[in-house]
Order: sequence, then C-alpha cells, then structure tokens
Amino acid sequence: MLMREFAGDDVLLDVRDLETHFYGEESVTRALGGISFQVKKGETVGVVGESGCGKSVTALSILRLLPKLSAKTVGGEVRFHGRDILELSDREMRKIRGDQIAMIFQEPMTSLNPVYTVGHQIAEAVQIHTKASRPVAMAKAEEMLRLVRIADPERRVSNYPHEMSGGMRQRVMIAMALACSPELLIADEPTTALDVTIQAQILRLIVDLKDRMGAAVMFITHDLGVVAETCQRVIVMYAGRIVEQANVVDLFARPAHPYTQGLMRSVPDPRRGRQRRLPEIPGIVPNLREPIVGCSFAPRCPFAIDICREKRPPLRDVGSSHAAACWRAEEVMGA
Amino acid sequence: MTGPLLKVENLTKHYPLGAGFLKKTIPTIRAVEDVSFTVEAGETLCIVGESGCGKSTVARLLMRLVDPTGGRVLIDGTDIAGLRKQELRAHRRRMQMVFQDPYSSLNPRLTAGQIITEPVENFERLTRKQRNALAADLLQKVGMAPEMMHRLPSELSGGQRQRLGIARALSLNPSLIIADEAVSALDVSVQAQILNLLLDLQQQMGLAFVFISHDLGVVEHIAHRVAVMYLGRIVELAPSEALFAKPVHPYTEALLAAAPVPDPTRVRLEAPVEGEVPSPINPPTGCAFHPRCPLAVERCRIEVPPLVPMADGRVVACHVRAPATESPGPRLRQPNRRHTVPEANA
Repeated sequence: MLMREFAGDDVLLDVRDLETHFYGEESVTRALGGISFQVKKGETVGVVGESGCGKSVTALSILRLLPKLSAKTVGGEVRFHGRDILELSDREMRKIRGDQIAMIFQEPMTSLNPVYTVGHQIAEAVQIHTKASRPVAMAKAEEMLRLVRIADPERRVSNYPHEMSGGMRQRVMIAMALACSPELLIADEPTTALDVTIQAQILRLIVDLKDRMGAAVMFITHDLGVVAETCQRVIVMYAGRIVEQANVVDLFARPAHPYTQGLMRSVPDPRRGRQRRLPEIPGIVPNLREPIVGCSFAPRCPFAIDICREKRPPLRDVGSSHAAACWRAEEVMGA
Repeated sequence: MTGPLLKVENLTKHYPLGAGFLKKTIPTIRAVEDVSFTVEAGETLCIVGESGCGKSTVARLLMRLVDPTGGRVLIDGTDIAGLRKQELRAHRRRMQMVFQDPYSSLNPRLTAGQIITEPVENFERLTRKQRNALAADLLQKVGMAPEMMHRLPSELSGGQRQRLGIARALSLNPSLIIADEAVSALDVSVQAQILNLLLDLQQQMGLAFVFISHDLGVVEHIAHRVAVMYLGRIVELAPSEALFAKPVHPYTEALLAAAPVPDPTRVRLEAPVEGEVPSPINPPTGCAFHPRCPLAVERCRIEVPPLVPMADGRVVACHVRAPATESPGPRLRQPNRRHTVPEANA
C-alpha cells in the first residue's frame, strides 16, 4: 500500500477514500470509486483526466456542492485542517466555503449574477465572511479589482458582468475568490473558455497571486500544457479513480501508468514529427454504471496481462513521491 | 488541371448592426477584411486566430453559406459568388464542411445511415440497397462498423459522432473539406483518433483541407501552410515549419508564446501579451494589433500594413518586421523582448 505521509502541520487538505455516486432512474453511476490524496499548504496540485473521469466531481464533493437529489458522497473523509468537513452542518460548511476554501469555475458568465454590479458581488462575498461595513467592503472590492489587474478599477466596480469581456469576468471571479484570502483555491477549468493570449494572462495571474497570498491551489484541467506550466504536483484520474500521482517533472519525464503515457503521447508534438499518425488509445472509457473487475484501463491497455483483468491494482509507490495504480508500473516507466 | 484548387481573392464580409432607420450611419461589424489565399489539391491550410478574428466567417464564405460583401472565391477557376442556385449546388459537391459540435450538427431523429447518405440523396435517387451499401462503405472509411448505420446520434460517443460528420462530408467525394474547429470539443485521446483519420483520408483520397482551429499544437501537427488572422485580416501566411520555427508578425509571436506547452522543464521567459482583442465594430486605425504591439511605431497607428512577401515564402503585414518601403521610424513604446527576423524580400 501507499505509505501515508504523516499528516503533520503542512497538510492542508487530506482526502481519504472519497466515494461519490450519481443516481439515475434505474442505475447508479460510481463517479468516484474511493480516492485519496493530500494537498499541502501553499502547494499547486493539478488534477487531470478526460471527460467523465471524476475530476470535477472530486471538486464538487470536497466543496459539498453536488446536486442534492441525484448525487451523494457515500463514503470517505475530507479533512481540512484535520477536521472532516463532510461531518459539518450546512451552516458551518457555508462559513468555510468562500472563506477558507474558494473556487473558480469554467464559465464566469454563469457564475456571476447578471443583475448586480461586479463591485457589489465582490463586496457581498467580503461581507458574508467578515464583519466589514458596506463602504469598507466596497473599498476592498476595488482593491481586489486592482490586484487582478483590471484597468480602471474605480470605474469598473460599477460595471455589470455583461459589460465585461470573458477574460475580464474571469478576473472578477478570481478577485471574488481571493477577497477573503482563502487557504485553498479550487479552480475547475478556469481558462478553458478563454482565448490563448488571455489564458496566458489568467494563468500568470493565478500563479502570481497564489505566491503572494500563500494559498494552495487545486487546478482541475484536461490540458496537459496548463498542468506543465502551473502545477508542482499532478494527480491523474481515470474512470473515477486516481491512477497516478507524481511531481510534475517526474510525471512528464517518466509516466508510470499506461493511461498517463497514452494521454501524453496522443498530444501532438512536433518533436516527434509532423503529419504522422499519432499514437492512439484504442477503445473507449468504461461505463461506470457497471461493476468493473480488475483494472478499469485493462481493456484498452497495451501492457495488460491476466492479473490486470482479475485484480484491481492499488496505488503504490514507484519512486520518491511518485505513485501509480498499475501492476506493471516499473515496465511502463522503462518503455 | 493547372492553378490552385481554391483561390480566395480580397474576400470581405461586413455585417450591418441593426437597421439604420433613424441613425445616420449604421455601425458594421468588419468580420472579414480583404482576405486572399490559395489552397492546392491535397494540401492542408490552417487558419488560426482567437475568437472574433473572422476565421469561422471565412469558412462560411467559402461554402457560400453567407454572401460576401466583396471579393471572389474560385474553385477550379470558377467564381462561386457569381453562380446561380443550380450551379452552386453542383459546385458545393466539390467542397464539404465538418463542424465543431458533433452534438448539434447531426439531426437527432435520423439514423447514422440516413445522416451520411442524405447529401447524395439531394442529388440522386438511391434504392434502399444502394443506400445501405453507400452507408456501409462510408462508415468503413471513417473507421466505424457498418452495423452502426442503424444507430441514432444519441446512442453514439462524441468521437463517433465526429466520425459521422466526416463520413457525411465524404459522401459526395469532395476535393476539399472545410473543418471548422472539428476536433476542439473532443478529449485529447479522441482528438488523436480523429486527426489520424483526417491524415489517412488525405493520403488515400488526395483531399485538401481548410482547417480552422485555435489549437496551435494541432495546427503544427497537420498544417502544410498556416494563415494567422487578427481582427478580420490575415497578418501572416507561411509554410508551417517556417512559421513555428520563426514567427515574424508580433501577433503570431505572441500567440505562439502564449500556447501552453506540455513540458514542465521549459522555462517561460516572456510576459504574456497585454490587453484584449479590440471590437471589430470599431477596430483600431492602421494596424489592428498596434494597441497591444510592443513594436508599434507611429505609422502603425495610421496606415494598414500591406502583406509583404519575405525571402522564405511567407507574407507578413507589419510595418516594423516587414516594411514595404523605408525604415518605419521610432517606436511608440519600449520593447520588452529581443527579436530576430528573416530578411524582407525587397
């Protein structure tokens, strides 16, 4: 088994065996099949994987923002500062959410309220979590807009979201998320809807502000390029489980899980030649409504042997701070 | 046959914004402004740029899904702008389109087989047997089992739907496929499958592609030549290898520098380009990139730079990097990077 690091002072978030199910009319989807990981203070952790791998469900489960009627966290713990936040009352959870743990989502237009000015919305976030008066909170809103480098913050505080571009709205979301100096920022595909030059600006901004404020960041993305440029450690998910975690340099240099390896090879890279066929991962992702025996990647895996189809591989150490859930990880790393 | 398969000359599209009943002047969106390029048989031309640069409008103009405000689109030397409906239909067979969203571009009530044979049935009557044979053949071309012809789009994965979109485009045996962000909505592993399919089809059938994308990694992988658009105009058009090795236009340079690279050991030196893309309703005077450009000089504010041919076969529209005549004069602001540029072909 993976050696659990001593849950000392530097561990901010400690997720243990988190299990979340979605309920359909006749079926149960095991969206998260028991995942465990930690985020240390001030650390940037990337969570990568393709559609349906459970990366966004992980964020929603931690924040307890799952749709109430159709989904439920059925097992595990989410320890924040050593306290299991799954046990908290809704009221206690609301105090933590937005204050100590903040979030940014992909689509800033749907996360901002169209009928209030952006200044009002940032100030509201400040007032919910501090005892600040209205004028103090509005001054804070303006300061935050300046911090996220919006030109003309004095004027922009009284803008409505529709008066801003997509990049600017995402800056407002970041301003709002950071207004209460959170210890953990969960960013779910924060730049996916943005143009590449704006993406570069926003990524730079998140990294700068995180360094300045000392917050830890959980960066959820499908983009390996974004992970390589912003994260210190990476968690790779497949079919509702963590298949590999490592520091970012090791992961890209020596991926230990065949899925990670396949994912990296399927990204076009001119160093391997243009206009050539890209290595494909054959097949499709498994249906999480059906029980899976053995490794969930085995049907698509070029390394699969009998044991892979019979017994699910545990996440185990394959190097210093490098773990993979694969029976043949050592051979994969050599390939 | 001589000459290029597709020749686009001075293509322009302005959209009027609302009716000008009481207002004296109607504001227009200058979506595409004086765009010219060619595509040879079997070639892949990629058009890159950010939202609002006009790349999707170019695709629509090529298909004549919208009528141009000015300019010409020639296929095998015939101007499609001048064609009447019947002739246009015949010419559309030569050119087919694959769309970004495989969810909304397929009729949810038709089976896969009906979807991919429909274009042919617009031209000729098929017996049931012929239709099934055609559907099976097309499905096989895009790597799907013939039995899939009875499925509905809702029963297929995103990758399979995009394969259907490609099969439908292939059904009329076109020479040119226009793909507008055809792999952008797909996961990377599925994206690799679809890119491989497109490369295979190009090799087997000698297809030409106009491939519109914002993903520079994908573009670098498949393009023979690349056109970079900014606010309705082409600012640089170059052989792919030359463009990626040494971008000349400051916007191309900014775009390449901004793309995230999946290599954690790479150290990013440059600060990202500042500001945002201006509105095409009221574009900046002169060169549209000048408000964001680190190299801008006085002249960039006044004159639209022409596309100037360079020694290595590219064209660039920049007063500083590719001056058409004499020296461009002093800079408007301090540059923050060093630059190296191939010589202009004076």
